[in-house]
Amino acid sequence: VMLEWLARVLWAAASLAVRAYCAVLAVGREASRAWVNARERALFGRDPREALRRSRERLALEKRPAHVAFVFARPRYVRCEKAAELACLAAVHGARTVTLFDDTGLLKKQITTILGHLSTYVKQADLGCFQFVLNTANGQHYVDATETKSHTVMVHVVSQEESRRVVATAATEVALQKPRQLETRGTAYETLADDISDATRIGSVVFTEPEVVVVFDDYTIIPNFFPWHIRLSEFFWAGRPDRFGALQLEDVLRGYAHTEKRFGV
Amino acid sequence: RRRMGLLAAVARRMLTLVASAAYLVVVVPAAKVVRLLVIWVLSQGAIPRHVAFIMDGNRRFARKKHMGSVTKGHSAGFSSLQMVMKNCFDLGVKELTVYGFSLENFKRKEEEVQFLMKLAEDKLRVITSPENRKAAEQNGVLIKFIGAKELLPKSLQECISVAEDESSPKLVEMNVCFAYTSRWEIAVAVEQIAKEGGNITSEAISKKLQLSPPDILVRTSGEHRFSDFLLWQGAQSVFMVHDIFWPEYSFWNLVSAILYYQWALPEISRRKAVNMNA
Repeated sequence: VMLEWLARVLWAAASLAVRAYCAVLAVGREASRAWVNARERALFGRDPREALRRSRERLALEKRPAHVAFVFARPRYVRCEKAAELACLAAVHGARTVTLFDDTGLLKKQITTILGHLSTYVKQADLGCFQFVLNTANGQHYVDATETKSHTVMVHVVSQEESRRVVATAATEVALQKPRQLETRGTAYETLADDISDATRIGSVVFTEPEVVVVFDDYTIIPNFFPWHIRLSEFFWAGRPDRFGALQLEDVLRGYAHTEKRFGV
Repeated sequence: RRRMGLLAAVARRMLTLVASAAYLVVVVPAAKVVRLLVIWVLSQGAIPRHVAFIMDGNRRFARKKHMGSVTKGHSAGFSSLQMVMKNCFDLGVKELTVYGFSLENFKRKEEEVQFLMKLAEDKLRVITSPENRKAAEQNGVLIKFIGAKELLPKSLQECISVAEDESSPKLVEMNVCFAYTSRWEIAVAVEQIAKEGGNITSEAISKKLQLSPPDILVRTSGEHRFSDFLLWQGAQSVFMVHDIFWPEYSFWNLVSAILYYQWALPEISRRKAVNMNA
C-alpha cells in the first residue's frame, strides 16, 4: 500500500511538472505574441491598411498557399471579427480560398455577422479589389455583389458536420455515376481517390486541399477537420486567436515556404 | 623513461577496464532500475492503448552521421523500431502502428525502393524464424500488415503471409503500414461498402477501416503534417512532433509523449463526449 501511495505521489509530481512546463511555455508564447503585437501597433499605428501593405511587402516568398484553413478548436475561441480579419489577411497574402472551421457550427450560425465584419474590414483596409464570397452548405453570400472585382476569394464556413459527410457524399456520387471506378486493386485506387476528391463539395463549390491549416487550440490535438483533404497540409498550432495577427501569419507562411519535399521525393 | 612509458600505458589500459567494468556493473543496472521506476510511476496515469508512429528522418540521420549511404539510415531506423516496440510494450501499450512505407514512396529512386523491400524481407525472415516465433507467441504479439500488398514483390508477400499468423494468442498488436496511404484505406472501405450494397455514410466508412483510432500520433524530424497516415482515425488524437530523426527516438521521448497525453486526456474526453452528443 505504501509503495502504491509513493508511486501515485511521484506520478502526480511528474504530471504537475509537465503542466508547469507547458504553462511556462504557453506564458512565454503569449508574452512573445503580446510584445510582437505591441510592436506592430507601434510601427503601423492602428491603420489596418498600412499593416496589410507593409505585411505584403515584408514577406517576399517563392511559395504561397492558395488555400489556408483556420480551425477554431474551442467554442470560446470562436470570434466572428477575428475570423473576418484572418480571411482578409490570408487574401492579402495570396490565398484565394480560405476555410473557417469550428467544431460546433457557431460560425455558420453567425454568417451575417461575419459578412458585416468582412465588409467593414474591406472598407477600412482598402481591399476593394477582392470579392469575398462566403460559402456554406446552404448557399453563398457576397460581401459586395454590386461591382466586379479583380480577385475572388472563396471563404468556406464549415463545421464538423461537413467534415466527413462530404467524403461519404462524394463516394456515393462516384458509386452511382461510375460504378466501374470502384476498384482499389493495385494502382486503381488512385482513379477512385481522384474521383472522390473532384466530387467533394461544400454547397456547389469543390472543396480543395488546404496547404496550410492554422489550429487555435491550447493542446496539439488533431481537429476533426476534413480528413480526406489534409494528407499533405502543413499544420500550425497557434494558441489563442486574439493574439494571432499579421506578424504571426507571416511566420506561418514563412514556415510553409521553407518546408521541404514530400515523401522523400 | 621506457619503463615509465610502459607503466603509463598499462595504467591507461587498467583505467579503461575499470571504467568499463564500473559502467557495466553500476551504470547499466542503475539505468534499468531508473527505467523500471519511470514505467511504474507512469502507469499510475492512463497509458494510451494505441500509439502510432510516422518514422521520418532515416535518410537525414544517415547524412547527419556521415554513414555514406542512406540505406544505412534505414537499417538504423529498423533497430530503433525494435527498441520502440519493446519500450511501448513494457509501458503497457496494447497496439502499435508504424508507417513503414507509403504508396507515394514508390516514386523514390529504384535502388532505394529495392533496398527497402529487401530490408523488410530480411527482417521478416528473422522475425518468423522458429525461435523468434516462439518468443512472439509467448508474448502474444500479433503482427498485421496493412497496405496494397499486391504491389509488393512476390517474395515479400510470402514473408508477410507467414508473419501474419492469426492463430497466435493476441495480447498486443503490431500494425505495419506497408504500401499504405490513408486515402487507399478509405477507398478500400468505400469499395467494400458499395459491393455489399450498403449506404456509404461516414459511420459505415469508420466501421470498415482496417486500423483503429490512435490515442497518440507521433512524428519525428519536426514536420507538422500527416503524410496521408491515419487521416480518418486521427481526429481527437494527440499529435506529438519530436524534432529528432527516427533512429534517435528514445525511451525518454516516448515518456514525454505519454506524459503529454495524460495531461491532455481530460480535454480529449470532453471533446469526444461533446462530439458524440452532437
